[in-house]
Amino acid sequence: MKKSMILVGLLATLTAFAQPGLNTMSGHVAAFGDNPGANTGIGYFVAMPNMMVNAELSQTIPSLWGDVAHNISLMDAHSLDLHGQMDLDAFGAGITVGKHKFWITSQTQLDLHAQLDKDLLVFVQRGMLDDQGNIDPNYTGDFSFNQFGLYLGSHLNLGWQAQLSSKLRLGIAHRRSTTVFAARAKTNAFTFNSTDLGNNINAVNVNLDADLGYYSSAYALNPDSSMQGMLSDFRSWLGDHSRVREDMSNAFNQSSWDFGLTYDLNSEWSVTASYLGLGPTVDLKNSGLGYQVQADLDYDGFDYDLSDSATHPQFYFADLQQYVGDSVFADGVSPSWLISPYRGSHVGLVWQPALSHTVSVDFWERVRRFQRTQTVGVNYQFQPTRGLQCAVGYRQPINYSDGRMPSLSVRMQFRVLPWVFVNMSMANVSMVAYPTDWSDYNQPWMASHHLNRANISAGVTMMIWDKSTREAYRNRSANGKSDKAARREAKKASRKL
Amino acid sequence: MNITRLSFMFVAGLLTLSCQRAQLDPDDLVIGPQPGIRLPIGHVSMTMEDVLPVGNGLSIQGDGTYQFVMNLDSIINFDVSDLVTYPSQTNVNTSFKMGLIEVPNVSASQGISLGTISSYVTNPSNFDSLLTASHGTNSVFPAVPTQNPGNVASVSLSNFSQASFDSGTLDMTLVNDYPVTVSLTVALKNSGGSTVASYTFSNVLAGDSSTQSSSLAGVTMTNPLDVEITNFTSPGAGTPGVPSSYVYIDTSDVLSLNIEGQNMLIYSGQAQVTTQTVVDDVQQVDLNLSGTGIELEEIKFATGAINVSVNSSLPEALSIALSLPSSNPGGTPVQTTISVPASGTSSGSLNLAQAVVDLTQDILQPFNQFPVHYQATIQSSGQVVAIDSSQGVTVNMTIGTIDHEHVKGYFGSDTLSIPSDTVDLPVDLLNELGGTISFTEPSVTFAVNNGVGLPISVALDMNSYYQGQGTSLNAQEFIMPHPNMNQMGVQIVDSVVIDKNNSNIVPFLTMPKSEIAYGGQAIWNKDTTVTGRENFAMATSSLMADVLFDLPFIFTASGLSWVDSVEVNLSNDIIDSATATLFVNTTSWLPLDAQLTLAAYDSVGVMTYQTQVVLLQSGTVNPGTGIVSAPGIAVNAITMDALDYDAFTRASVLEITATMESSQQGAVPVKLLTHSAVEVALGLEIKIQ
Repeated sequence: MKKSMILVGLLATLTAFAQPGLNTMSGHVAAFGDNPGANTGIGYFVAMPNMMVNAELSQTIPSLWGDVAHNISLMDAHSLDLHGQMDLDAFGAGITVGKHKFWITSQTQLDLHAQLDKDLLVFVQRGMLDDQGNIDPNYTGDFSFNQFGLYLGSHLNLGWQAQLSSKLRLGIAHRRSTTVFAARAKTNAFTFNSTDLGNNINAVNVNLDADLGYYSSAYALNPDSSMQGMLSDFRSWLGDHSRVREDMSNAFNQSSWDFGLTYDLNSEWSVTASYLGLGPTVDLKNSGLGYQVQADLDYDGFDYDLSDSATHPQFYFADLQQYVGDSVFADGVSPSWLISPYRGSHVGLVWQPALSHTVSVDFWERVRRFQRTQTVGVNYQFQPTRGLQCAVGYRQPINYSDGRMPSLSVRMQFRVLPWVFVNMSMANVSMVAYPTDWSDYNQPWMASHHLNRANISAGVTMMIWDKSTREAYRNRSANGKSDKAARREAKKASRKL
Repeated sequence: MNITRLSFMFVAGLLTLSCQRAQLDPDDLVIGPQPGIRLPIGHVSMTMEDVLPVGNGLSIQGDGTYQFVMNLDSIINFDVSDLVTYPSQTNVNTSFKMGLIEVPNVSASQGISLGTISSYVTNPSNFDSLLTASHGTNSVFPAVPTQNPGNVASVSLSNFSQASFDSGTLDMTLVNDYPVTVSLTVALKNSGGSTVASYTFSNVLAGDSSTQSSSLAGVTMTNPLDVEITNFTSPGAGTPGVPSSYVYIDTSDVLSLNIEGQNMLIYSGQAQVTTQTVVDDVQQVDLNLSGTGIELEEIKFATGAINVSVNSSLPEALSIALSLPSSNPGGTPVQTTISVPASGTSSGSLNLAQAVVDLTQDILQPFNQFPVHYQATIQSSGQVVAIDSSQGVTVNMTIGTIDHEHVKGYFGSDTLSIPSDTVDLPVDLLNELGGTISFTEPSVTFAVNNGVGLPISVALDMNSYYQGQGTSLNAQEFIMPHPNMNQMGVQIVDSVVIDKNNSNIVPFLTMPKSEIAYGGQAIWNKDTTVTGRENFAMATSSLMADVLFDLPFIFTASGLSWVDSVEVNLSNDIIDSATATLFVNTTSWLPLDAQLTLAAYDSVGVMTYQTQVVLLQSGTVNPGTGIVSAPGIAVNAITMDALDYDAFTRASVLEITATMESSQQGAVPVKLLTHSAVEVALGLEIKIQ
């Protein structure tokens, strides 16, 4: 079972594709989202569903491999973080009118963050055992570093790009973001202590101070319901489309602006820059539910006093539940929800020595709901024909606070039908693990030292290249011009538009 | 080198740089949780009172020691009505005759004028004319020789018309208003001629008087009476010719005869009677207790009455006065008066309620009876009535239902059987333990609540049984506590204790025992030479005797065991790679050692698993007091690993054996205190592999 799980996990990394850093390369609809001023080469497009999934740990898997509990206990960090994101681009469309491009795209984002205290993880695996495997009756555990966050939102982008000159493209997009659901939890203090009372009997103390917050535009997600009730209500809610529309229309919305440009320095070099999410950070205060949960449980066992029928053992669990309930205090607090627009920024330098070859270096800062990354990367795109694109990039994180590892990304986009392209990306191809013996998966596997992440993206797009791109490739094929010459022709054609 | 080649070299370089590999051996991965954790399960705190709650015979003594008390209520229970009952009383009838009747004095007066008498004087023959001629003048009154004038008048007496006298006198006073001395005999005669009385007066001087008396005994007198004068004579007065010797002659001068009857008792006749007592007598009334052996000397009635009816044939009304002269000494005796009309009947009653009556007035029978004094008085109507001494009065006395407030005396001697019965001892648990539990200070208390002044000897017959084997109590006979004469009216609450010093009670109550059979006799006034004959009882007096079995839990116990087995069908599909240890620690203030053995047997009777737990470690017992002075502590760890669990789950029968004994193998008597506590601490340790 364990080995099967490992196999599935590693295969997932093998088949995964995605790398936001490559989005700014031409021919990819997602480039409009990263840089409204991107030179995508796209004339018209209808974007079919595209999905990106990213999951990563703050520690590499090889560093945890072996005695996981022991390795976790050796971590410098107080906690092990798990970040997960899923972006679903449900629909998009764009057109080119002269020197202007207009597009509309929609996206749903799911962000997840779980921070688990190192000691808590060790406790789950080892309990109160000491290094010699003996139970320490005077065990002390501090599990205070825990957080959990979940965000579900949707975005609607309306963009406009104008080629202001032969060298400059400017783009602007309005992003309307809707927060559908948000939840978070954080332990300010969480300790488990055992005190030896002698003769093998101990007493335990659990102390908890945690904040819980919840926001939802969906009426049915009532946190006062039981979990089963919540799920049942949620299904009912989903089935009531009019209610969904009503709730969504009443959901929290905010607007922001994305800006971007591409400036051609000369026939081969250009620079790109963008800033995403210009808009106010809004506090959802009083729009959600918040609790401060505090508990201080001293438990030395069920007190059964024969003279008191209320302490009969049949009440053991009820009494324990009652005791826990009485010891846990949840005070409603007004949560402060600072909801920022989806933000990001980049600058890049692009060198296109030939029509089929593009090399770029860039800096990216992306701010998701629970994760902020700053990376620099170098990318290469090979586009031998209009029906095939291949790209590879290497990204080096410059902020290690979230544990991100250097990674190698690849992306492939190819035409499967006229105007229909399929793209697949994987951001951590360098981390792919593989068996040392393909005939026996039980043998050791080889994996990158940096393996801590799984990232895939895939999608289908109906696309027509813009006129200049079409002519460049058409001329190269027809006239036998070199890639470099073809690129120059394409540039000229583009400026004539 | 073209750009394509450079590009591939660039990509290859990136891959080379980023593909430093680590080897991940699945066999090295230890990811499954293998926690070990110890948690407190709970504490059980109990005192003996929690385990053996007070009630159902168990109670607590002042020092906190348990005692088992079993009460046999009212094995002797009777009140005074069981001692003294009054049979139906017989009627007391008495009658009396009227007898001689006193009649009131009578008087009458009759005057005989000189003219009248002169008319009857025949010698001298001219006497009458001479006097008539001299009337109104001073003249010589001629001498009258003795002669018999005869009936010269009649006299009528008041108050009767005819009477036969038993006694009495009829006096006559003669007043001579004649001017001369006279002598004469006066006879009072019935109309038939018989003489009632005769009076002789001699030489009664003029102006003088004389009285004569005559007895009426045996005389029958009618009314009116004739007055007959005989032997009348007078010397006369005056010498003729000597005027100075002359006397004044007035023919209307009278010779007065004044008659008066006194002290007259008649036995028949028609007469007026006086108000007089005709009967004054005493009648003894017996309570009809003869033959019962009871000799009551004093009784204070709570209720009761003597109902009296009187039937009279007397011609005058009667007044009957009844009284109990021996009642209420120093106070007003019980009495009543009944009025009976002439020749009529009447009734009344003597109310005995609250009367204290002395029953010892009769020397011949100084118990069980009391005198009734009755007195009949004729109430004169002032009328002449027919009197016959044979007329009489009948008095009938009936004693109704009586009850007393108290009685004193001797209640006789009798025997009351204590009803035999059997009671189960509610100590099944102790019996099931096997072995023996010997209580060192048991007792049986014969608790008495007695207001009857009566010495009752009690002979108890008690036996305890277990599986048909009996053990006798062998208690000595004793006299039940009772009040003495100075405590009359007091309910004595006292007890007689039967313990190991005067009985065989220790083996009698050594467990196991399942039931006790009891019975016996209660005999009162068994030996009056010792206890005397002074008994008493109040109406409210009662006698109740309970038997209390008192077992202070001061005991020794050894060889106690309890075994039970249950059929099991355990599942073996739980985690098989865990080792669980249950910690059971007890701190006991009980003077008991207890060990629990759990054994599992498979279907063919082979033991597959066994473990022992020292459930209780006896506290340290002070041999002088039998009380635990320091607790005993038992520390147990019951570990069950996968092998144990497998063996356990193969069991089809679980046998649980508990063995117990008091401190030091039952050699030292120990006390079981209600507040003796046992603290059990439970903890669980689980290691999952």
